[in-house]
Amino acid sequence: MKKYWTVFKMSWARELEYRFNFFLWRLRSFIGMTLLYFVWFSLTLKGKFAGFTEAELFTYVFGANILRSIIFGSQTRNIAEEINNGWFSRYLLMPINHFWFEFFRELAQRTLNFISSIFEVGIFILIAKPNFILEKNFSSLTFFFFSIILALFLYYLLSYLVSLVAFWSREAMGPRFLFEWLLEFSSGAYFPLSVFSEFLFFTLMSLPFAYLLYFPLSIYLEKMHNSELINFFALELIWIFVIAFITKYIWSKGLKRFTGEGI
Amino acid sequence: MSIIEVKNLSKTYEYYKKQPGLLASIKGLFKREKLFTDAVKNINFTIGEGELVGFLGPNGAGKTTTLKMLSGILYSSGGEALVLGHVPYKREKEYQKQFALVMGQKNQLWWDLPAMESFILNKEIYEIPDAEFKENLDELVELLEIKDILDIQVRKLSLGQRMKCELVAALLHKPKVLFLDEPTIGLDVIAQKNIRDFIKHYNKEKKTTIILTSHYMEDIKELCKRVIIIDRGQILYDGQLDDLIKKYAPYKVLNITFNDNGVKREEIEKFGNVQKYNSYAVALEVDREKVKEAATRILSSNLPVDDILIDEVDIDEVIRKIFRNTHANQPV
Repeated sequence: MKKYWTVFKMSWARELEYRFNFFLWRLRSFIGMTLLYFVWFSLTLKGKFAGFTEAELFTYVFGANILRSIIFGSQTRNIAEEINNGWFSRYLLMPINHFWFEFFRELAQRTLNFISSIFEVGIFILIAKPNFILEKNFSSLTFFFFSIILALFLYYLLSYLVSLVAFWSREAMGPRFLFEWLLEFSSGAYFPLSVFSEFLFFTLMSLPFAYLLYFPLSIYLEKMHNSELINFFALELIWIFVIAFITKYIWSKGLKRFTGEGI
Repeated sequence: MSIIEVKNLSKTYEYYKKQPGLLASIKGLFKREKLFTDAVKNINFTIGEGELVGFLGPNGAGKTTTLKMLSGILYSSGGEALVLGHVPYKREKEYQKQFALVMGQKNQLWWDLPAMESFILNKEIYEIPDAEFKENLDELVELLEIKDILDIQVRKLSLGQRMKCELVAALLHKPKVLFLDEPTIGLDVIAQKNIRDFIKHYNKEKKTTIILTSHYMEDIKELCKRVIIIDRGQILYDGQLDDLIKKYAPYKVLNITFNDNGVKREEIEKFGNVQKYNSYAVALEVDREKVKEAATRILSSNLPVDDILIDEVDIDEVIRKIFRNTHANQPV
């Protein structure tokens, strides 16, 4: 376990080597949040929108910004690149588990982004003084916390799986872009998924992406009934197991094809 | 006791035919022709404890592919390999903790951080106890003289310094088997010598079993008693370097210099096969058994001999000859 903790610490140090890059990445996220804030600000001038009050929507926008910083990572992009350029070989030589090795690298990046996003949202709230909801219900907060942990795993599994395409193709970035686009749209990064018709809403809820942002945020905003909550949690767990199984299978198939080109 | 056993090991790569040109590329989107290439064909060898064996062969001969199979990066397509009693591709932890692969062209150190950070990571990865880590590190750092560069980001180091750090990272867990793939590639002559001396010393002291590939004949001459020569996936020669010379170069070279008016080619030709000729310096190939006699005859002739030297054939020359012969016999 200590080895993964060391990876975590080293990844922190590495991220801090590139402060300007980190700053730009956060700036992008801050601008995105500000834009969304003003969109919702004008849409809720006449009161509620799609069942959300102004304060709820603003909370959604801020919450999405913070959650994205914890859940959506970019470290796994390197996996595909390393498979293609042969660097990946070094992980096969050492007594480490690549899945967890990358997970802790990713986690290091996530925690840095998380700290930064808390500051961003804090500053924004101080300046714009918007209405927002501070959840105090203990059970909602517990479920919220639990759903974030699951979302973190789910995202990591999905993006790890997409990276493994590199075993078959030199062009793993194509599927990656498609994946990221699909993710932004169907995870509820821009708007709550409940704005859609019931049919589309349930379609999206039966896919894994909705559990990354929309699900935790609607728990926080108490938009879910208890019975719904249990069903959705069950569905999320099923997705995690299914994707973990597929990832394991693809991994072992991919390794047989791996040629370590470039070294 | 044999540490590495390789029996009928083979590796076939799959690839797609790629025609040049845009039109062909578009066609390739729909239909691609799959091709196979045998990178390694039924090779056999065993290596004993503490041996330092040189792998020789031109680019694409199958040297690196073999090392990749022995280190578990690649699955083999046929045959088997056992290293320290383990099947490499199973990538068992007990095996991984006992070997290391150093590649001259790729590094394992974290580029953006000082080498020391990577050493600490390796300490954790290989679960090296604190005291042992400190002892090994101090020893390696001193031998390689890199005390001053441990806290500098790897990207700022010179190639030679980086290779030294790579070696430290690979040796911290005291591997019993070490695969070195072109460890001196791209280094200047002095750095090459440093690395070479270190490998020699390390092999002698620790009895580590080492396979070394290199394009620099100096490396092989200095370090390896035994060489395995591979070409097109097949072993052409496996044996002592000295025997190789005797087998492929059954002659020695007489280097003779002349003074006064020099010599004519016809005058010297009768003593042996002329390798190099000008009026004042001649290199003659002469059968090993007859070389002394030939030298005596030349000295006692009335040729204006200034000096005469009996030399061993250059290994580069021998290797080139082997490849030339096999390529001539095999259609491309």
